[in-house]
Amino acid sequence: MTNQELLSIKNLSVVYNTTRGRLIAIDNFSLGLSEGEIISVVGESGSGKSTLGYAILRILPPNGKIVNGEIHFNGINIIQLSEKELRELRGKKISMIFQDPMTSLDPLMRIGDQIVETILEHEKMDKEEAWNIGANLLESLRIDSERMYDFPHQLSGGMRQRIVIALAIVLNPKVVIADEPTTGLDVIVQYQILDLLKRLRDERKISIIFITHDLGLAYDISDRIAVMYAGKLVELAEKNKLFDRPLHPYTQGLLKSIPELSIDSKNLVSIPGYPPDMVTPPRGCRFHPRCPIAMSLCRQKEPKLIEVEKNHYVRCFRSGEVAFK
Amino acid sequence: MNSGKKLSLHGMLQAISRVKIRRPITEEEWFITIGGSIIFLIFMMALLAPFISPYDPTIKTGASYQPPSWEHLMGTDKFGRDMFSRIIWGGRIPLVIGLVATIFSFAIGVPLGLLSGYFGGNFDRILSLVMDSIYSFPGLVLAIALAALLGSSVVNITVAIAVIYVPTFFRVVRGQVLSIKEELYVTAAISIGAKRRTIIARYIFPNTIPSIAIVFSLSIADAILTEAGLSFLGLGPVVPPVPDWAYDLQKWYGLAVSQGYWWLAFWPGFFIMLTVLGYSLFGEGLNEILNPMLREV
Amino acid sequence: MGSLKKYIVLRILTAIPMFFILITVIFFFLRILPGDPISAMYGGKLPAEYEAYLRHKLGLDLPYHIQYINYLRSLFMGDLGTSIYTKRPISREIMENLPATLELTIYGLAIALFVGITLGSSAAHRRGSKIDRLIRVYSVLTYALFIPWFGTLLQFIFGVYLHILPIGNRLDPTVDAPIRITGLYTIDALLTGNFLAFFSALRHLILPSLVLGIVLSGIFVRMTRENMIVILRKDFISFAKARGISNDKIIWKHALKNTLIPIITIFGLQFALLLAGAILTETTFSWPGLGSYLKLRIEYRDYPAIQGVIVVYAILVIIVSLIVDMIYAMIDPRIRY
Repeated sequence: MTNQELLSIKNLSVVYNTTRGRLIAIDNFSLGLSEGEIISVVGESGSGKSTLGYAILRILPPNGKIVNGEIHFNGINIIQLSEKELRELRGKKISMIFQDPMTSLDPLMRIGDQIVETILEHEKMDKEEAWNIGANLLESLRIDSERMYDFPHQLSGGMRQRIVIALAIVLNPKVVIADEPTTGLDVIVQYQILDLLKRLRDERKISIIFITHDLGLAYDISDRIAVMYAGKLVELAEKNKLFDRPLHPYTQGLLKSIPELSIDSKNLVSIPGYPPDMVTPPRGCRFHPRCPIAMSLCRQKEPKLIEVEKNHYVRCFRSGEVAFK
Repeated sequence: MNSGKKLSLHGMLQAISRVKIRRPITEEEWFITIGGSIIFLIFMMALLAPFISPYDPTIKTGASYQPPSWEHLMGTDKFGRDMFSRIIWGGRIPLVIGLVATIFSFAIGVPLGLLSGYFGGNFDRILSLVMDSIYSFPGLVLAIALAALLGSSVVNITVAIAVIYVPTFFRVVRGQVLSIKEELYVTAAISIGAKRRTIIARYIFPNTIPSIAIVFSLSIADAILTEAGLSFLGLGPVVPPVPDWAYDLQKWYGLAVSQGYWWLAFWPGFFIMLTVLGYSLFGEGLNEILNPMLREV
Repeated sequence: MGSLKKYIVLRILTAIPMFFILITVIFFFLRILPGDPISAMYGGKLPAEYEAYLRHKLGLDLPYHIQYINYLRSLFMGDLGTSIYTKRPISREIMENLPATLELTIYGLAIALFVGITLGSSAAHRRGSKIDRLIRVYSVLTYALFIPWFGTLLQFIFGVYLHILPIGNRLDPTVDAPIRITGLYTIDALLTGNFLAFFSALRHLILPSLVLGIVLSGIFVRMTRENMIVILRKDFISFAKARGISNDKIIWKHALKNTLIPIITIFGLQFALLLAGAILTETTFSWPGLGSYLKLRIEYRDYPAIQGVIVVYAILVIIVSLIVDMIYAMIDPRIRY
């Protein structure tokens, strides 16, 4: 991949130690993000897409561990940073927005105090100055700065998510990881949030990793789309290319499950079967138990990720054959 | 998620069979195994007292106030009675009272909790108020009141302690019923016209069993401490010279401090606590395994 | 804050029925259950005529509903009756003993909370580690501690063997009690500048309040640990990490504050344990509070006094639950009053 990548993930593997054994959440995953680019990472729940965000920021839960790979940000390998260096990175260079705006904010603290706390954790200034920075930021995002005095429970879901975004970018990070930031919001608010994210990219050159299970939303916001299945990257391409000519049977299935002309669907039900149990993943290609065009090779050998055409990567022995007719 | 291993006591299995996948024995399994062993050993000790106790615990078998020696492993008291024998016999009353009182509380608290939670309404409101007020009241004080005013026979003490733990069972079961009632399978059972009794017995009650098991174990632990507390305050059910751990402790703790006869207070208290520890380890282990709030995601 | 005031008034009003129910439940247990205080106390050793006389004197020969009304009436007039043993008003005797209990309870509670919250939080965010395991074992062990045994052990070690701490009473015999303002010796001594009494009182408080505090700390460790484990899984914790907030601030500020809210709500119920523990602690350390008073009156079969103490415990329980609710309302912005 190219040299001007702001963030580049190479051969990343993450496991969770559970009571049932080792769960491989992300397996040998690589991806590069350029400045001002928006990439969507699409997959079903349990595909490892949220874990990706936690791994990049190194905030995995205690039983999660990065076992292999590198994550370079501006040439620094995040995996090797100390806890102190990581803290400087978090929020200031890379930031993250979480799924549920209702639970992303400390319910016992005023919005303003949470913003001030974030600023003061990284910058030396007095409280008042930090407060003003927060208020100005809200105004620039077209949020009434009076909201600084509110507690989270006093805000609507959409407003809360906007506040969460404000909090995530208050230190002008270069990269924002947005983990399903529109879950639980109604369609109109969803698109307002997407517009806000796009504006951040346009006005502040922020790169975004947009994690979602919804290909429709992914198409709307991103430049490129990465499809994950069972911890593996299975397809990566520029969004129009992916939509015009999906090569992996799983991507084809996902596209088929979007009802025509409607983009708010959350159903991916039309792919038969369930994602595999990641403690004991299937041999060979992880997707073969659900794949309509699987052949005996797929059951034995794992396909490699190959660049089928320029900047279009796919992990399938039968890439390009049409499944799900 | 990981329902396969519940209560399998994989630790013991691991030792016996080598087929299972190896993974370290978890703390919960340690807690349950150690707790269970303590309970078992203490019960065996009390049960087999006539065979294993070296002396008659109620008569003089040596000089007064002898420190521990080979003849008297835990020394002797003022009347020259063998402390070791008194310890072996002294568990019988607290063990029985703890167990029987908790069974009573269970037998009253669980059905009331099921009905109250299931039917709701005024019945539930009044019952909850009464239960909450008993629950918020210091159990030991309630037991003191009942024992002092009704007389401290074994039966009265058992009743007094049983009363204290009824609300514990009631609250846990009622809370569970309230949430289980909303589950789809219960709604489905109601909609196909299943009888109330069937719904409660077949669908709701089984789901409350894990919580009940935890409460049961912890309540016995607590009941034994309460019985010991009553005995210590002079409201115990035993009449001297019958041996009882807490009675001996309250009888001798003053002398233990002022004269240095530490064995007289140390061993009775130690065995009270060992028993309580057994039950609470067991309950704690169950809690960590069965409590969904703490389960790993 | 006008609405908070309104809430407090409302909450006090709802405490009245709660008191009523508690009092009624106690009455029910003491009178309606089979058994009779006079024969229980004297074990049928008194002449039947004298028993009948005592019953009459205590109003126990009246029909239950009349007894109940009499009981309520005297309660609301603050009259707990007269002691059979000393012939003094019981309410006055209780007021003399109450401050000692309060002082012990407050210090014991402070220790229990401090130890419980510190250890519980430390265990929660290191869940599964060696420290977590040790702290959990501590919590189970302290739960199993029997106060008289533990108290005796500490008396033996610190009082007899090391000879550095007193093992009973509230003050050295050579020190006069400070002028009574609140009845809590440490506070009164400070208020009147009587440092001799202050240090003497503090030294006497160490062992009993440690015993009470350590025994109860296990429960607080457990509550803190369990609640914080749940809180630490919330998104706002991950989000705080993602913003680069330091671990210490996340644990001790965000997580702890949110953990304490459910703990405060259950604390009202745990207070009962504290009172029960205080009875045994007082007895072990000859601490002249309500617990020792209760034990003494049990020995003297002073039926009205026993009943009076129980009513006072009920009042304490209700006052504490009131205070707890108010603290809760003040620190949780989500509560609407």
